[in-house]
Amino acid sequence: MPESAVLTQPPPVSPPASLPVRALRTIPGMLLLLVVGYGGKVIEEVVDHLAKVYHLRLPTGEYILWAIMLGMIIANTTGVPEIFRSGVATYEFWLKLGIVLLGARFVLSDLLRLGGISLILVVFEIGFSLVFMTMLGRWFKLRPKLISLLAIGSSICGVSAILASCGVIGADDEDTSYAIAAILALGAISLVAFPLVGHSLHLSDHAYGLWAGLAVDNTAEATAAGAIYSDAAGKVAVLAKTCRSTMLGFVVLAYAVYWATKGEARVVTNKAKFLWQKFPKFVLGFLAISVLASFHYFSPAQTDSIANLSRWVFLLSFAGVGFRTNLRELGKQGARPFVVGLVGEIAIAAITLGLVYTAGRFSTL
Amino acid sequence: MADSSKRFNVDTLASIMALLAVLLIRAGLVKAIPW
Repeated sequence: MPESAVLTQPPPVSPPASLPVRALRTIPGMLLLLVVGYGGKVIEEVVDHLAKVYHLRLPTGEYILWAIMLGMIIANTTGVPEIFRSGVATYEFWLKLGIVLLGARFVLSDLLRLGGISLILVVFEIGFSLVFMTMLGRWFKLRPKLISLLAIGSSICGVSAILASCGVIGADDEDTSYAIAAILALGAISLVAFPLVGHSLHLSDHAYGLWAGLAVDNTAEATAAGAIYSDAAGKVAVLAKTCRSTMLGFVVLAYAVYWATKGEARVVTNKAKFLWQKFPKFVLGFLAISVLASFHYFSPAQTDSIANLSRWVFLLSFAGVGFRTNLRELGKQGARPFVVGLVGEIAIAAITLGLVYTAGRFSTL
Repeated sequence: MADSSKRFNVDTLASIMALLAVLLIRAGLVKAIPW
């Protein structure tokens, strides 16, 4: 073989690891999620003990904030070592698992009533968010595709929605990472801001949960913001957020068609297939378990056990929320997308709060 | 972090695992650690 041929050969590429090897590689990171999540629970117990000793009144659900803070501290100081990364990335699986298990705590009649109210409010929320964020982005002279991504991210379900749409509207990597960074920063702020506003307005668990599910962007943050308020609020927040997520395909399709008519994205030929691909399949699992619960398939003790399992797996996902909030990355994005996101989110929070109050006049929340 | 190509896998896997877990709990084979 001539020497030149040897020199021009590409470097050897190692074959992708097999499924069992990849599964084994997730174990250290999953253990880290468990340690950090449980650490949050231990800190809560210590703080509660001190609060009792010193007669202080503290809100419930603070273990979630502690777990998220612990994760954020590690991610933003030492960083997450390589060995833990694939396991930490499983937080989304734990989130979806927790949501599906939560189906056991909804009977179909509740699901139809609350889900029906949520769906109606979701349509209003999405319409307002898309129009408002687009106007705001144009006013701040952001790039058109960044505006589309921020509008989709704030109206539907944050990072998942942005990732689902960046490819189909032909957005570049820079716009996508800007939009994700802004949405994650706003999600972190909402974890503190929403419970504070909810408590100051004395919102009921249902009203608050509905509000958090409608207004907080990412599914993980919406679930956490609800659970920080109360267990019941967390349940309703998940339901409202799930209703919002089911609309993902329709909104992304509308944007894909819009950018395709401008010749800046591929044309979607099979729209039904596109909608099915974008449909969040965990909703089907959630509904299946809810149907089983509605027909009294589980005894009260078994339902309690399923609820406990759901809480444990949520704990892993809340720890993951902290790990993925990288403040150094957020700092690189520049102020304008963040300001647009912040102003937009405040407006969306105010409008959805108004919607929840209005719904409360027609139905018991 | 989820993207649209992975969404199907994570969501479907979560649904299957959750159904398996509730069936095992229903059969009395496993019990969640109290919260």
